[in-house]
Amino acid sequence: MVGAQSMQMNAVCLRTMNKKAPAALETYLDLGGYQVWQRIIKERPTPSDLIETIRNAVLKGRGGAGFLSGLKMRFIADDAPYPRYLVCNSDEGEPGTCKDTLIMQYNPHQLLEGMLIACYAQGMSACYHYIRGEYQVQYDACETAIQEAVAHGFVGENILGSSIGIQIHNILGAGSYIVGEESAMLESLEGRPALPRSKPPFPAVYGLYGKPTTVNNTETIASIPMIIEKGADWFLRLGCENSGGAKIFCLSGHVKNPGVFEVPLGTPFSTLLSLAGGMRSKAPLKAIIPGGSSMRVLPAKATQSLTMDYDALVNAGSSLGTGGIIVMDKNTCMVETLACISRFYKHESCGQCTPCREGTGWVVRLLDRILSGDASKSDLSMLHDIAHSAEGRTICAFGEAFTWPVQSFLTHFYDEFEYYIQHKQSKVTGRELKGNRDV
Amino acid sequence: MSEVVATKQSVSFILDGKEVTGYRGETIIQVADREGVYIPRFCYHERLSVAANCRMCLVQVNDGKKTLPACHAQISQDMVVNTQSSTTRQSQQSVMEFLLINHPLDCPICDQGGQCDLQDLAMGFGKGVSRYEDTKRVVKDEDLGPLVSADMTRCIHCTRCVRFGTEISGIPDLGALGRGEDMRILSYLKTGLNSEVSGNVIDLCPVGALTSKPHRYRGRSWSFTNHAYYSAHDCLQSHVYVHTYKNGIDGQDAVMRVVPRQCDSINQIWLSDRDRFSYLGLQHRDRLTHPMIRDGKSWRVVDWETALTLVSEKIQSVIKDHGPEQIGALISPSTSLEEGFIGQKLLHTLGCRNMDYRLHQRDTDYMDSAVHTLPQEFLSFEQLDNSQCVVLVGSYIRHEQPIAGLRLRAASLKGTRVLSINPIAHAWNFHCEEEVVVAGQDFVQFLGACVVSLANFGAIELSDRWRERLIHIDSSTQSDRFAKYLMQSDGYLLLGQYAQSHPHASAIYKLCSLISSVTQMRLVMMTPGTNSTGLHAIGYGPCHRVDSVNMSTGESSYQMIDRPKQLYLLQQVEPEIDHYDPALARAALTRAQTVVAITSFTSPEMLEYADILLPAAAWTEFSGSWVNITGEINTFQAIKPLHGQSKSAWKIYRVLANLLKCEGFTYHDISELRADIPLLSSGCLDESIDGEVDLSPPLPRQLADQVVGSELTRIGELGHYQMDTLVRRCDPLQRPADKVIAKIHPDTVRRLGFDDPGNDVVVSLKQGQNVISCPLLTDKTIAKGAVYCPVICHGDSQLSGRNDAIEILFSEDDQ
Repeated sequence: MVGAQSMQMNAVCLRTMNKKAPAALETYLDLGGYQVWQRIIKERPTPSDLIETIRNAVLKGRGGAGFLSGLKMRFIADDAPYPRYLVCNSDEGEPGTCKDTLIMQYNPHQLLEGMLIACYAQGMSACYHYIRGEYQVQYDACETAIQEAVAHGFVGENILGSSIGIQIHNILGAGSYIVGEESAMLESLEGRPALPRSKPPFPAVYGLYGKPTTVNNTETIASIPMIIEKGADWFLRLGCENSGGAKIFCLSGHVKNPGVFEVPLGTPFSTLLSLAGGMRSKAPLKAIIPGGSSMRVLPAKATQSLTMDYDALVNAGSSLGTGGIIVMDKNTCMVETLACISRFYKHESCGQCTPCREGTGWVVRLLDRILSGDASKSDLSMLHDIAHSAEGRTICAFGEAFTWPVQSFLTHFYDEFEYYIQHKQSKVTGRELKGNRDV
Repeated sequence: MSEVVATKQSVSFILDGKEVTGYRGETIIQVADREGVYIPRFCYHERLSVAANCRMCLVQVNDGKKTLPACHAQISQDMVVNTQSSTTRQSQQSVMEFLLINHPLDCPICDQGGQCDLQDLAMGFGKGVSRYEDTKRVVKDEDLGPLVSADMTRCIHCTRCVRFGTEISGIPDLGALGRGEDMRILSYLKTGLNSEVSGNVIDLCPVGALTSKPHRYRGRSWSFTNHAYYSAHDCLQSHVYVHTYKNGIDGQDAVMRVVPRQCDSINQIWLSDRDRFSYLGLQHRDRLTHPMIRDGKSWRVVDWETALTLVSEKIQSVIKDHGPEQIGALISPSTSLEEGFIGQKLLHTLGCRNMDYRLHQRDTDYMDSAVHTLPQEFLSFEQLDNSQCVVLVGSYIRHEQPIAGLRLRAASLKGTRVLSINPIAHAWNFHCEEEVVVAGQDFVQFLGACVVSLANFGAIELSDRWRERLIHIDSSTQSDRFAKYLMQSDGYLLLGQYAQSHPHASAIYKLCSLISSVTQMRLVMMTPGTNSTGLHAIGYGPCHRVDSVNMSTGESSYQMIDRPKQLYLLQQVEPEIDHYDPALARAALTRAQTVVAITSFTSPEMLEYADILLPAAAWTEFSGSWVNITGEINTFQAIKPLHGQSKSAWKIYRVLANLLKCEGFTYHDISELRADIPLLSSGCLDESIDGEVDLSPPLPRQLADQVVGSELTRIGELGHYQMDTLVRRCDPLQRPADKVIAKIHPDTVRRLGFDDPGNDVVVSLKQGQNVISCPLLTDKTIAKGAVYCPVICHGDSQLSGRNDAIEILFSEDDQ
């Protein structure tokens, strides 16, 4: 654990954070920004060398799935047809996550440089940057950055006097959760409702407008310039085994100072918690949801000696996800929490395929029944059954997103659900009948 | 969605323990269907794109824990698919449970009950008792129009109907709005369903969400008898099943509904609304049940003997007093071969040659000069699918031949280029590569310009006579572009209603056959009615040469009306609507001494001009044979008892012939009659039709006529729900917008010296002595120099020739 000894904060994506005018081109240039891009234009390294470097750095997808980015880039076959497209996914809809927004707002040029390098490495001449509908400020920052970069000849036709041309387009979404799913994003970009596509074919074969396409998360792309600049080794050593680099974690919930921290992967959870000032009251930690609301909940005892990296979280029974950590203390009613999460997923289900369209509503109605005191104990096994029935049977991963919380909450906090049914009140807060039967 | 086309590379894999072979690119469900292994499905439909949204077809592959949708997962070498394993079953049962939680469980009151995919599959995959105890989703229904009934609470969101609109019909009437549980299928702007093939969503809907509105609550599918039959409203003869019910209506056998019968060479699995719903006209109040004769101003019901004796007396007296040339027969183009043959034989025996089924045509010279050949080739949809180019010459194919329109759209999506020469810029449901909007004489001259362009490009060597005729016509950039397509492509020239009923139809036909003779473009006339091709093939018409009878040429439908006759014999036609010149037709019929109508329906007009009414069997009530545009001879049996005292028309002719003491009419049954018809006894169209295509140029005036001054030409189409007597009586197909509205291009108004009158103005339209007044809209889709005014089907006022000259009279204030 190299990174943990000399904790490097804001080492990669948020490195302009503490500067004056962090988003300005000058700031980024002062940090050595765009030098990699200039070198690439001048020296023309072979794309496969660049991809190899990214692969060796063990950069994993920061959007939630944690897939090896270098490998994903390889999915576009050498003889794949042109044009090919890069899509940068800044939809960031996962509850508890607010990391891409900072990159766009405070370090847009590094993101741009990452897009340019990724386009070059995969033979792409256009990148569509899909920004969450609510992120107007961030959209403006990215637009300004593009204008500055175009003025300096980094983006556009004949980049830096070469024959290379790459266009980058910022697009503001229309506000939906599921558009963060990569194929739904492609549908939305094409002007249709954001309904995920059935896979295969994967976007690398049949993506935007049917062309080979790579969809990457903002944080993933923004990490690329540093990898190329400092080498795969540096990046890998910054993190830990099998989890290269740094990751932005967003701590929310019952902590003293909720915030966003870019720390090396492999940082212990306890370190991260203390960065956020520890728990906000005397009540001790009860559970965390480590990677956005769709990931499985972990009870406090699983967080002891937990390090924040991809493997460790899988071993603990959850997943790193987006890095949006929701911290809950002992006063949290898990029944109400699950109902809250489930209502969100009911609202955001696209409605396309049966298990999700019908299952999300059924889960909410069952939870509301518990909260309004009308449930019986058999409803708990039914709730578990429904979650199990929907998981893995949907077109996209939304089937997992809404069932994992249900399954894990029931696994770890079954007693609270049982108590609520028996006593018609929360075991934790003692509040009665919180249900909203109109949902 | 990506379209993966199956290639011919074989892939073998294990399906339920048995080794099977499919082709690379095929999906599991395709191979399973072929192998007879049933996988449950709702959203999957072999004619639509794969949506994979119902998840009912999940199957276990390679012992995986996660099941894959068989409609979407492609087969691969050595994969192991298990459709019966407990993993597969659990997946399918789970999906079924999800589908049923919000679906009403009230099958007994659902119109789909008994023919419902969800009901059937719930028997196999559902639980006996629902464990869902919460409230169910209720969706407010929308009025989708008079044909399709919506019960959207029953919808399972398979999106078949949506995909039908976007993929097959190209008219996206329905869409999915909202998300999650609130997702609803509806017409976006509450416009209802407006396409000519909207009824197909009834068949596609796997549940009771979209059902037939006219058929709703009229019966259960299991009590119907299924009959294979053919539809009779266009030249394709779509294959249908007619469902009848014993004691269905008023204690009589009745047609309850019509559904498509799969036929890959014609209608595939689709059906036009006209074919699907026209059966409703069978019970119309206009149905004639008894023979009737005129008694001064009133009508008297008589028995058959009285009526037919009177007819024979009238015929004899006309022949005696005026000669047989004073008899004229106008019959429907949907008349069967048997009826056409025996009617023709009777008239020939009487010495009469005036007979025609081409009521919609004014100029029939080109057909009459080619009696030994079909004036066209047959249409093959397989060839159409692979055509490089199709030119629509005066055809709104969507309305005239809806199923051909669907097939053309499918071909267009595959790469066929469609060009259009039409008097109106129609609302196409496919991409139209080039569109020329011309009417009247401009229409003929544009085709002439195409020939000139072809000659300029060296594609055609014009004879001196042709050159002489085309001397006034110059090529244009547009005709050059058309000529290039015509030279470089193989495909079809499709002549539609406007081209056939153009006053210079011969010129149009001859120009098109000249083009066809030097290119790879085959000429096909998309004839109205269902049996035009067959009637032509047996030589029905004024110019057929019968070896044993030596007679002069008779008169065509237009000539018979233009030079009024003493006795008219009508069969299943209403010339006051069907004829090219309704006003002229009505005048001639009124003036005639005797009008005998063999008909299934009466109309107020008919009751005024007719003298003897003979009730004839309607569609589904008679046996016969038809020839369709693809050259198929379809022979069929009556499937429903006769209505009232009506009789098959061929029997009426037989008795009449016997009363008139004609010889050779001793047919005991229809098979004896068929044996007499060479076409049916040989069963081969090619033998009865041969000969050279006439490539002589048209008459000089037909090409050289120039439009002068403020002369306007009328575009007078017959609406697609007015095509024949049965469709006209199908109330749900008749739209309230049947009020006549004339349309004109704003530039034409200006050319006439008026300002754009806006949309509220009422004008008078005048053709000869006939004047009507109606609202006038300016519309840029109408050809310049023309006034669009459809054939009027109701009321007393009527105009003259459909596509003749017309005058427009603005009221005093506007001038």
